[in-house]
Amino acid sequence: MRILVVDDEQGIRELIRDILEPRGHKVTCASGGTEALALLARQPVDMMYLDIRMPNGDGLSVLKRLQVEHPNLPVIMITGCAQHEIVDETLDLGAFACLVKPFCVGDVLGMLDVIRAAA
Amino acid sequence: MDESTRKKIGRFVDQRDAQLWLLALVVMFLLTMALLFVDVVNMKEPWWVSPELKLALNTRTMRVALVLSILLICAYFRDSARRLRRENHELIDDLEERGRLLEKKNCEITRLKDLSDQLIGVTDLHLALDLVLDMAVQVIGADTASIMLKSKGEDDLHIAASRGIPKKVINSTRVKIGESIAGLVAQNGQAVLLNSDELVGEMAKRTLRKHAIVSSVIVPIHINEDVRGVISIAKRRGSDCFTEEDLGVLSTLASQTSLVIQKTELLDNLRDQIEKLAFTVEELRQAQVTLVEAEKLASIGRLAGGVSHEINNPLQVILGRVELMLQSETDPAKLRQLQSVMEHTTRISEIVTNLLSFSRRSSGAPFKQVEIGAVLDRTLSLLEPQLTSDGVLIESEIDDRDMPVLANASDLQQVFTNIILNAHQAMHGRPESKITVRIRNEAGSAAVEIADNGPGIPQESLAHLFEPFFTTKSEGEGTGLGLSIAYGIVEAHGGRISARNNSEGGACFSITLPIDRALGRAA
Repeated sequence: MRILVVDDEQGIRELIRDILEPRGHKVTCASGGTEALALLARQPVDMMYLDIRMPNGDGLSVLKRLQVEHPNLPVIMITGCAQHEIVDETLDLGAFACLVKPFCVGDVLGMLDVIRAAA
Repeated sequence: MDESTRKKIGRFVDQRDAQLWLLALVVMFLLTMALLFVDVVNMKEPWWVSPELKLALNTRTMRVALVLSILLICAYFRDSARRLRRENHELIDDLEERGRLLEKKNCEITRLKDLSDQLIGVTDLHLALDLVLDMAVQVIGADTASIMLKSKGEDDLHIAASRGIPKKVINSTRVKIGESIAGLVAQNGQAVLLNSDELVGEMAKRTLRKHAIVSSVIVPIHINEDVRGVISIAKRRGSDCFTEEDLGVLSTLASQTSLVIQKTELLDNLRDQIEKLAFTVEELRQAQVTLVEAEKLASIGRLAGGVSHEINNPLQVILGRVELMLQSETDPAKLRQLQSVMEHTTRISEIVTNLLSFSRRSSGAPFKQVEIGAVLDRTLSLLEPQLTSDGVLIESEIDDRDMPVLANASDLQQVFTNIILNAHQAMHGRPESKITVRIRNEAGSAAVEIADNGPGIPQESLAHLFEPFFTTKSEGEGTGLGLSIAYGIVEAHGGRISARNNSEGGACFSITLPIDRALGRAA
């Protein structure tokens, strides 16, 4: 699968890439929402991991635009805040699921499997 | 010599004077007749009067007339002198009497002034009333005296102070306003002087006879337009009766009493106001302390939240990387090291999660109407096996189990769990350990108390109990986040949490949450 990972933290981006690439996925990374939207315009992806809190284009705004421009793109939101209202808000905005930090390798892969099964 | 004896003597002397003067008049009349007779004899010269007789008549009659005239004049002067002497004596007696009365009045005025001076410094009503009665007994010379005041909120009089009245009578006496003499005085506001020999009213006679009293004075105590009570004095049989002057003195004492009552009421009022003020100041101080504490905890929460969020990302990277290395590593020695890193990083992760819970103050799950008793029951049912196996007795004192509160049940459950587990740990190894759980409706709030009979909380720790990382436990036994998370959750629910030590020992945590009136039943 072609996967776009968007997070302002380089460590998180590389971690997810290192989890997914050994399993045959093609991973592209972006450090902010603006960069992610520009990348998406150039090359389409099958799914996306998107951080909520970022300095350059926050995740929720990007998610709203994605719902208009790429309504069929499955998006898994990444958040450091486990509050129900934030999780609920992302799901209401059309996110496929929400990955709450600290997550484990199994969580990342498990969600991917669900998306693949649904596709 | 008393007044009545002097009067009797005066009357006797006046009678004697009148008799003497009547006798003198008779003598004068007879003498005039004799002189007329001599004149007639001189003019007519009747045949039976010889010249010798005529001469004799003229000479002797004149002599007798002269002597009698002198005697009468002497008697008149003597009587006048005696009358003057008597009047002089009477005048002196009268002056002496007036002097004595003046002296008595002067003495009364001095004593009343002394009383006024003493009453100025007295702030205790009963002491002041005792002083007034002492004065009534000493100055007026009463055998018994009492001050009856209106009972608060009731329509009767009770004895507030007395002299010469048995204690049993004092305790049992209640006089209805408008009934009996004292009650009538309190109703009409008019003073009365009752002397047994001058009485006309049957009730008054009966009252005096019943108490073997010969004389009594009852005066009202006025405060503005109202009669607040009466002062009553009495003399027993064998004494003199009271006079109008005594009534005047007692009225003055009643005025003084009125001033004293007003003064003490003002002082009491002032004292109450000061107490209320002190209470309000203390409440304000407490509120300020709570506010400062809440603000401090909120600041700590913001700081903890910020720091935790920043730690979360590198922590996530470490956790993920170690997990990936664990999946690919085959060397047992490296695996052990990686597992150790994983274990401690997971512990850091838990601390960060708890810190975030404290800073967020709730899980964010929607609030629903829950019954506080049901949440506590669920918590206890989960913890009971662990507690009972350690010999901890659980007691419940629940007034109202069904009080509805708007809350997140699992968050509340976490609050109760944290507190109960803390109590359990505090009582570890102590015999007859007991946790008491109480729920009651407290002024529109659901109040939950969780008390233990453990060692209690050190006084210096009470102020820091809800701060993150504050713990009284040994190192490694706790992170010091349980109570701070509980604090954050209760605050998020609009409630209050506090801790204190019980007077009988052990710690007690109180949680109050607003009862959900809009959705639930009325509190």
